[in-house]
Amino acid sequence: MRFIRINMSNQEISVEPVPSQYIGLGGRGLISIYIHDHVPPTCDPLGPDNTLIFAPGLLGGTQLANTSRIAVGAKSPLTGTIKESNAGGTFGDAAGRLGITAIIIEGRAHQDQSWLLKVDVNGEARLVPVNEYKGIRTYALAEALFKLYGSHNAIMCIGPAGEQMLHAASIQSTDTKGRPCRAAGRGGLGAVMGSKGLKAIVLDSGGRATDAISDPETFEKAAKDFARAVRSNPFSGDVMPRLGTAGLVAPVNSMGGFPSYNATKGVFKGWEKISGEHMAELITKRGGKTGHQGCSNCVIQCSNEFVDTRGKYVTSSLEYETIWSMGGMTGIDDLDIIARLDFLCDDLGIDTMSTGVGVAVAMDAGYKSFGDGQAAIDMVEEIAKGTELGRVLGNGPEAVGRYFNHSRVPVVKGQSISGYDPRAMQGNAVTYATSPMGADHTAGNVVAEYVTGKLDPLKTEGQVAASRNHQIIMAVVDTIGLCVLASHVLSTPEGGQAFIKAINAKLGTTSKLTSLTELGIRILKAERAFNRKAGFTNKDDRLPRFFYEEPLPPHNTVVQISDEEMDKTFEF
Amino acid sequence: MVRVKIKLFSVLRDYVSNYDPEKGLAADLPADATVSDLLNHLGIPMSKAPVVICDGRILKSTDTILPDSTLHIMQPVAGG
Repeated sequence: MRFIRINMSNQEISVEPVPSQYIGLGGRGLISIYIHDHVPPTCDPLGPDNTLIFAPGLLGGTQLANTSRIAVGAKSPLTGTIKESNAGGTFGDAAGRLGITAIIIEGRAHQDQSWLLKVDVNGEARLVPVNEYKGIRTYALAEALFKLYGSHNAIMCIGPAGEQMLHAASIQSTDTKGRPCRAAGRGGLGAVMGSKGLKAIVLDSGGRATDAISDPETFEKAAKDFARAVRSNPFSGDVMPRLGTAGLVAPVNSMGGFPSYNATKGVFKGWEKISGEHMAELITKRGGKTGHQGCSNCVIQCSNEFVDTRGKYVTSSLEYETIWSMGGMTGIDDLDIIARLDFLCDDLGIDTMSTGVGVAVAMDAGYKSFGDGQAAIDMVEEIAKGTELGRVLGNGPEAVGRYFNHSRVPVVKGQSISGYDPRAMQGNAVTYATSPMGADHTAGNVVAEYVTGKLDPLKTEGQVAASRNHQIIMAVVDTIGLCVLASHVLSTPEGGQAFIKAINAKLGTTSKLTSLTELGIRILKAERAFNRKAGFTNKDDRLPRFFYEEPLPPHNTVVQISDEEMDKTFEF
Repeated sequence: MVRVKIKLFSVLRDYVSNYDPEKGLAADLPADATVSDLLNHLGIPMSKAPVVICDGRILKSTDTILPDSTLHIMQPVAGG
């Protein structure tokens, strides 16, 4: 258990034991509480006073299935709030195996410099000047770095978008095949990394210094039980391996909640052409791969390798949120174009969601027509060129709206919503509005409550409580480092019990599953407190006006949760 | 009898041989048939936790199927 602290201003590196107040934390919880304690809330997100943190989950590096997420956090240049975004791939597992609790990046290098942080198998860290890689895209960078350091490494890096400090820039993470196709996409954390002068972090994947497990025998049994629960669940065991997250296209359209044509319709006319079912059929027919393992220690295997008509690799993994933002929102019903856009965003190091929504806002403003795939590709390429329009698009949908003087911009705190329209799913309206992270599909998605018939998505009753509960759960899940796709088994008796047994066996505690709620509340309170000091008030916990005023077909509903109800979300 | 149009998704397509995703399928059900009856008719087990959606609304297992409905049947999703 140790912090690796890097001061980019003078390139000093220090390694220190984890201070007692952070013991028992990992991932998002550690990041949020550390930032709350140490980062000036009013600091410039791209200045030297901001701190960028990489933290594996509490169970990262262990054998508990699907706990290899890597959390990244800082004050966000996109939202101005505290922001955590997490990614799959192999980096989180590698960090856990090296006994790293957090890599803390402080200060800021001189703007002419670009650095790489390398951590070897013994956990020794060093900074390497890499000015030769300035401006390089992520796929070429990963290939060069694996050639230099060997394939037994895991990489997180930024592309041209991060170096330009564009507010929607991502940090890309390499998958099991060494491709930088997994993303900590939200909140513009790639811009923070770029501001520090840090191009990449390369970790040796062969560490053997995972933090000790208090009761290894019980942990091993609990891990087996948990994996069994994940595999036997209809969602994580059936839908995800077959279709991946693209399996959401059918249910969300069927429910009338798929924001399309810049959130003017709730059903996309061509949705079956961009559905998970069609995608899987296409991939299989062309010789690509579904049921692919993208992340370390995964038993779900939701990933895919999308290939072109000649069977050549295009991108991995084509996910629901990208299909929605680059497809439904832009009116593009062609998976080949969407896949190219996905690759382009990964290669440039920019969030597919913010970028797709930005393109949609521009189309809605009349700059190009909905459904024009080539126009979308050309617009995203502008980001690489660093043109005026590219910089606007790379700064997210709000910047695009301002540029085109267009008011229908589906963002909260500057960050785009996800592929669930808040007018058709009122609980997600609450999450988008009130999450300390801006609108974010991973902050507390209520859709499961609707699909299982527990809650009517169009009524106001119960939505605030459902959002609150999911926001608390997600704060815990992202602290443990658990994949959201596996987290849904926590609500089953066998999954929940196995999970808490594993945590207790790891930490030597006797907690109950319900006690994790306190942890989630502690994290949310720290995040809210930071945002308050940064200048945010309840008035910022609101959706754009059009969500309250423009009915969404086919249900023709608007957001009906009152401001007073929104403000009750964090009454714990 | 009521005639309905059905579209299947995800692994539930495996329960109907030669299922055509573009056309879906048609079924004739007794006039008072419920969602449960429909799932039995198709041979889809409850262990797959099937979800039936009609006109944007999720139906309960006891809901009666209305004539000329288009029903989408899929497995539960939980966000991603």
